[in-house]
Amino acid sequence: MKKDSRFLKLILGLSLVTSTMMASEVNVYSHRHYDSDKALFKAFEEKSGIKVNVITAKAEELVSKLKIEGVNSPADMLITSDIGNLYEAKEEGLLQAINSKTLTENIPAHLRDNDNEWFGLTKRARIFVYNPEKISEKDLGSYLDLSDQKFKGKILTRSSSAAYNKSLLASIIANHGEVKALEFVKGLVANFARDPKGNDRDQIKAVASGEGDLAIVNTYYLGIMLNSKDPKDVEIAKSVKLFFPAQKAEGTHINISGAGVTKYAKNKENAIKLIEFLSSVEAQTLFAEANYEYPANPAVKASGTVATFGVFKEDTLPLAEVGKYNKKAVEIATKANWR
Amino acid sequence: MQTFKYLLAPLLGLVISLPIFSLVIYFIAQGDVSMVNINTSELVLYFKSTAIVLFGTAFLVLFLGISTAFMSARFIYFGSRFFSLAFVLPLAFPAYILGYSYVGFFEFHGILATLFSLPKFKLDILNIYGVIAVLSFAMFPYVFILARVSFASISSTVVELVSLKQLSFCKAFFTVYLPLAYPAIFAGLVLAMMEVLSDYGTVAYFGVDTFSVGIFKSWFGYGNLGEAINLSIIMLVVVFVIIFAESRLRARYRFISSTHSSKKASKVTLQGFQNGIAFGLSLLISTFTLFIPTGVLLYWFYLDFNTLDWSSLTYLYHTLSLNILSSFIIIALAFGMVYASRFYPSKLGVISHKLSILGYSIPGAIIGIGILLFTNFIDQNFGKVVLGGSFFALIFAYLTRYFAASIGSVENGFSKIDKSIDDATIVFGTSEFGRMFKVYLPLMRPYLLSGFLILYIDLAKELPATLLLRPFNYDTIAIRIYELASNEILYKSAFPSLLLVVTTAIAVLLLNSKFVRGRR
Repeated sequence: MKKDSRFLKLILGLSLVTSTMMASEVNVYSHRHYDSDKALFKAFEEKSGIKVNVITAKAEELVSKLKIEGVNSPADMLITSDIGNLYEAKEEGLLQAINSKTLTENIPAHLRDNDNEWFGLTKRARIFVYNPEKISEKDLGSYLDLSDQKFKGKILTRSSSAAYNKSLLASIIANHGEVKALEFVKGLVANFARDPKGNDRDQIKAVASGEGDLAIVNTYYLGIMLNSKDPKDVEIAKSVKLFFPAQKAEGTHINISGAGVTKYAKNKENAIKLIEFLSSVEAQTLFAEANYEYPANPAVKASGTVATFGVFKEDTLPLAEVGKYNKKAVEIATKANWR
Repeated sequence: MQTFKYLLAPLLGLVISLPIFSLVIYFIAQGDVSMVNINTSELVLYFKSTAIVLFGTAFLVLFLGISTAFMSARFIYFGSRFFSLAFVLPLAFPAYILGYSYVGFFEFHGILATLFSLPKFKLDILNIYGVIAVLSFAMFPYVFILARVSFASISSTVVELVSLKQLSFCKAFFTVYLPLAYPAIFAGLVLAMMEVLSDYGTVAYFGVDTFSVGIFKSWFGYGNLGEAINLSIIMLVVVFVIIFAESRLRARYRFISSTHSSKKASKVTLQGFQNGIAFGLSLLISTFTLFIPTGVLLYWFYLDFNTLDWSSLTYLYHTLSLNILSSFIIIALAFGMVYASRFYPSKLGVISHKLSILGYSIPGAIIGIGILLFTNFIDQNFGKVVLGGSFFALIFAYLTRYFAASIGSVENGFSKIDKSIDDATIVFGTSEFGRMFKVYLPLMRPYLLSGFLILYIDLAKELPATLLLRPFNYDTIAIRIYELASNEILYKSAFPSLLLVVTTAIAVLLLNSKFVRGRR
């Protein structure tokens, strides 16, 4: 009996300790839904004693939610998996500037906002995957070259409403202007092997099956397939080749996953701490290894599968520019009938 | 008091459609009815694809739903007990998971190609026909569930009349049995069609531009939520007009078969050739709607077996507890609404009834926005967060979105109760309470249970509203499936998908054997 009550006290004591430890928290709205993120939040909780509460949803929904909730929003922090929505959140006045030496040191200038309202955490390169039996590497160049007639009936990509395609097109507008961008998309659409459908993985499969010869995809999908437990995925991923576009021009377009502190954050300090943690070497290493993304922190090198993709020249156009042209990109895609 | 009773149904309808009203108010308050980003040719395209998908799916859903319901309700044949369960189960698959698994089956280096060693084989189903097939496979159980109850309650008198008149099977089926089940079939079809209208995940993946793709293009593409809401409201008005017109039409078709006062016809045991046909057809339907997708999931599950993530069990618990509570609330309100409309009918009641089922036809995410607008309005008036981010908001969203799923079976049940019972309860002076709980509730049990069943299954796979409105850290199994599927690691989504199917199967088994079946 006595033993029991002692045991009870111990439990009570422990739960008291954990509850005071967890008294501080941070509420995250995130569009990233990877298990690696969950592991990172857990690591942060253990390290800081700050409890991380998460709601995942689509970025556009989270931005709308923040907007409607206004000052009542419980969110302290927004994480999106592309620049467009993060930029939109800033434009809508949903984020606030934060002053963190750690973040400005960890994240290069072109991957963060000028006013420090958002910071990139991981990078994704939008690249070409091609069938080496049908296309020779020397025929490949920049994104704009894809509108060349020689690619007629060969190109595969998903719908223009996919955030990654929007941002790619926005970067082309920023780099080459609207007129050139429209011309490019018209040519691109004319070269499509089929109507845009499916996800990035389906495009890679369509290249392997010969439905088209070249697909525009993000690197990490190839990483996922190369490390898949489905032997057919691995076989397919190995049968195609990867090409980093625009190496002789502006460099390969990169997009980011990024985070910002919300305008009405109740736990602002905790949110800053979490973003700082996510930019740290420890967290960045996991981002790269678990999800085959490129670390945003230059101190962390790509490793494993990602390293095998090779070194390439990145487009260092400030991502704010990409965000700025996101809506224009949708307009142009619609005008050129890229569904 | 009496006036209040007449106001009960309209009030309930009003509350249920509050989130939709919030959208309408937002629509008006914006003062911008122009569709700046959507041009006419796009609108035409959306309407065209939507119409093709709707008609195609309706045709296939009716064929699959009616044939399976009739076989299961009227005949005993080889495997009939098993099939009557198998025909419900496709409902447990979120439509887009069904889509992914079919792509996994037919694609290049897919499961079919591997099974039969066909290195070059692939069947491209990422097109409008693929969408129609996948959505029909996912939705036909709505018609099956509702129509089966109806076919099963055909009275022996009707069957005797058919044999006295020596009607051929076809003639009897089309002129007698089918019309008797019409309200149920229609209720099921409406559910299926509204869900087809609101589907976004499947059509977007298959590359078909339906109206809901247009809605999301405005919202996600142009970041113009207002325009997305405007488009949703246009769609709502169209659906409202159709539902209203149909109810007028249906008024002519009032069949009150006095099922509770006469003996139900017993099932016919099929022999020989007929037995073979019924079995063959059932097997064919189940192969496409259940066995292939389940097989694909099982194969993926096998690939992932060594690194299985058991955390899915936590999500399952979340799903179950939230579901049972929500389904109970929704079915109770549906019973209340239909009961009130039957005894205290009013024009206002009819309109609000039609309004209350509209939520089913618009994408869940838009309903979610309606709830956010509404809860935020309340919260602002309180000056603090009262409703936002709470289970209340989420369950409210389910209510608005899925009221239609429950009210169909409740209405169908009430339509089967002879008006003379109403009169009897009045003559014998039964109290309101007694009438509701002692007379109608027991009579309605099978219908309430099939309504509960449909709700339960619908809510188990509900994604968009849950995604937007759930409280922090409260992930359901559908959310887990979505997370894994949107990371494009399909084989990993097999385990949670199978868990979802298994739990639903258990629920179906329980309800099938103990209660619903027992009453027939």
